[in-house]
Amino acid sequence: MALVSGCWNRRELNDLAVAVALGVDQKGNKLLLSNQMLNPGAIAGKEGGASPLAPVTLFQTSGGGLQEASRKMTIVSTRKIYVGQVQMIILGEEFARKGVGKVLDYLSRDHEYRKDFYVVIARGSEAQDVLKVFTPLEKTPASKMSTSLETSSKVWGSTAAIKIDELISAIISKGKEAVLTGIVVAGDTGIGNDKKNVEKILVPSSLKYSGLAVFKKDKLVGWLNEKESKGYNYTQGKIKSTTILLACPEEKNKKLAVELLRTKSETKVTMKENKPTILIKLKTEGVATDAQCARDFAKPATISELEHLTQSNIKASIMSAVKKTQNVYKSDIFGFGEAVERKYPRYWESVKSDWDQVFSNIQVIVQVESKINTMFKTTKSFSERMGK
Amino acid sequence: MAENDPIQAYQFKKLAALFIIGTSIILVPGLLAAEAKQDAWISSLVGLLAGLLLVGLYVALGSRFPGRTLVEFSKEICGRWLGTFVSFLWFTYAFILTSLVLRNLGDFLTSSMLVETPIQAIHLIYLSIVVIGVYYGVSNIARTADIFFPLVIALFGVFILLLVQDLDFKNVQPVLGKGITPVLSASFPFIGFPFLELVLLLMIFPKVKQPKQAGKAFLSGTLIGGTVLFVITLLCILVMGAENTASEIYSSFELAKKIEIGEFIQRVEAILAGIWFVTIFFKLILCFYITVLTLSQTLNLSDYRPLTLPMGMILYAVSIIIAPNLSYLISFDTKVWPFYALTFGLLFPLMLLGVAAIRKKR
Repeated sequence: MALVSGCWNRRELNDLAVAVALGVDQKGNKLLLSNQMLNPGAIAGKEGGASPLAPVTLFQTSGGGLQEASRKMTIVSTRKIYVGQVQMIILGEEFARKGVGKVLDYLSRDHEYRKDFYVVIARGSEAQDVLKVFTPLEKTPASKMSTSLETSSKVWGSTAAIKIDELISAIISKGKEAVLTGIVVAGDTGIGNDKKNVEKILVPSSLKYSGLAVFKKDKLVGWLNEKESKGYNYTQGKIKSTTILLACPEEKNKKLAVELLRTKSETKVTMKENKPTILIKLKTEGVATDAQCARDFAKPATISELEHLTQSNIKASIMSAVKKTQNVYKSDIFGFGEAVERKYPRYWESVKSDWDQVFSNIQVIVQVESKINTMFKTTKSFSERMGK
Repeated sequence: MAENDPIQAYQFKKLAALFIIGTSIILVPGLLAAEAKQDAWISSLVGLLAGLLLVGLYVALGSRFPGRTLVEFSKEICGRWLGTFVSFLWFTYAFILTSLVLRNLGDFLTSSMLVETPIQAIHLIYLSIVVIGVYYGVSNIARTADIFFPLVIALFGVFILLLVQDLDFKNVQPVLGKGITPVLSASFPFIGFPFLELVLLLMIFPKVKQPKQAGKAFLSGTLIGGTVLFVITLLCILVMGAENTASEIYSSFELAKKIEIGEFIQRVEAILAGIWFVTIFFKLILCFYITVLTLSQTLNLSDYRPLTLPMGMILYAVSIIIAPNLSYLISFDTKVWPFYALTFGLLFPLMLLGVAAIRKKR
């Protein structure tokens, strides 16, 4: 009796089909669910070279809801689908514009889903197209997508690695709206679904992240470009490290580059004449990494010039993100509302229902403090050494 | 203040040599070459000569008051109030030097090897060893030097041998092509960093058991240290050329990267950076020891040990805020420090010697 008590609901590994990525698209009134499943035979790395099978396979069914569709999927799959290993959920843009709320209840309720997968938007395409692309470096496209998202949000900063629980709490919160990173199929979309795609050195079709999708409640309302996305990520303290490209003040076509190594952000609210003012404070530390124009970094003035340029660059990108969300989308993705609620709960109660309007007229002040600590190994820039 | 913590003359020699090599070994070739170009090696010789003269002065001062430290005889010469003030100035000199040495190490590591590591973490770890070392006293520091000094010299010898095949004597030509002026103006900051700092070793000088040999040990230690700096400068110029030496901040580290013999001896710079950690460690630990000792003697405390931990904490903070960035530090080292060091390293000792002669103390 003791031996069998744990096996009531026993499922052997070889009775399961493991889903690694899900895609959701709108098809008329129905949802199209695409599940990217591991192909066990192709993944198991045995000697004897690559398997002729694709590493993953795609199962698709459509239904009125996600739960129905995923059960219905057994009509194409031989095994019951296991979703505990899902790494990515891709939502089609058209679906997202109509509202993603429809799928979130099931995703947060069902016991088999964990809370550690990322959510992205298939920008300008359908989720199923994204799931059909062969990717180099990583065997399964799902792990390519999640690793690439993590890496780029850490070291470049124009993407946001948003997990499902973060998305849900941003959509629920009245003082903060959600954002999600967009993913596009770049290059020749037709060939992506063919193994030939990864047999070439330069893959003809690849997946890349592009911009941030701005939500209002659960509906996608628009996109931020790369600069604005970075500006948004600065305010959220999500950028661990990034590179900033600056134009040399005397020659605009030559560039300076600064690598940020650490950033720290803080959002403060103050009330003046019953109107809130937002103060975004950002501190960054960095290194001078590139100078195409003549510069001598042994002079402290060069460093302070670079610090000023960095500050105004960061400030401009934050302001452009703020302006766009205030004027165009009227969507408080920065969480200013939450900051107001924390500090002035009574005032918040009075404006809560009308927050979008208040947000779009709120005064935002950005203060950036950039420190450049070092310039690595050399003092004079190459152009300075050449003596023009 | 009878601390029974004597060291041997030969140990003092090693300490003086390590003190000179200290942080200078990574920074000096670049600083010299920036001004004197291919004649940087002549500048380093000039610096070495000036250093020996200075040490002659320090030895004269120190031998006049056997068994007394810099602070003690400053007080004796200048009287109680002025003496305490002068002693306090010695403390500030030692303290600022200590924080600069620590910062040099931190900047070196964060800009060449441990880029994403916060400089605070490096300082904290390095400083903890130093504080513990200082707590154990100078004779223990000297015995540590006994172990490490041969290692430093041996690795340095290996370093030279590995670079022999890369030497190109065209790199030093033309000799004195622009006259003697740039050579002299380059040697000026070099005299300030490290030779004018040697005056602080007068705090340890009286601890040498054999006072008669102490002066000789001081001079020969300076000679060894100065020669090492001369050789490294010459090697940088001969292997990399003046232009590359000048533009690299840590020229000798870049020099180590050049080592490549066959297919198997290459990428050894991290091992050679080990020498520098050792020499910087000795410079830092001596500076810090002198800092706490000058303070405790200025305040007439019987033991310096209670000061080590609090001073270490203050030093940790000051080493971070002393300069906003590396560029500032470099221009401070070349433009401000030489004059500052000249005040303490030449003017003060001369004045002390003069007053002592007039007041006929000893």
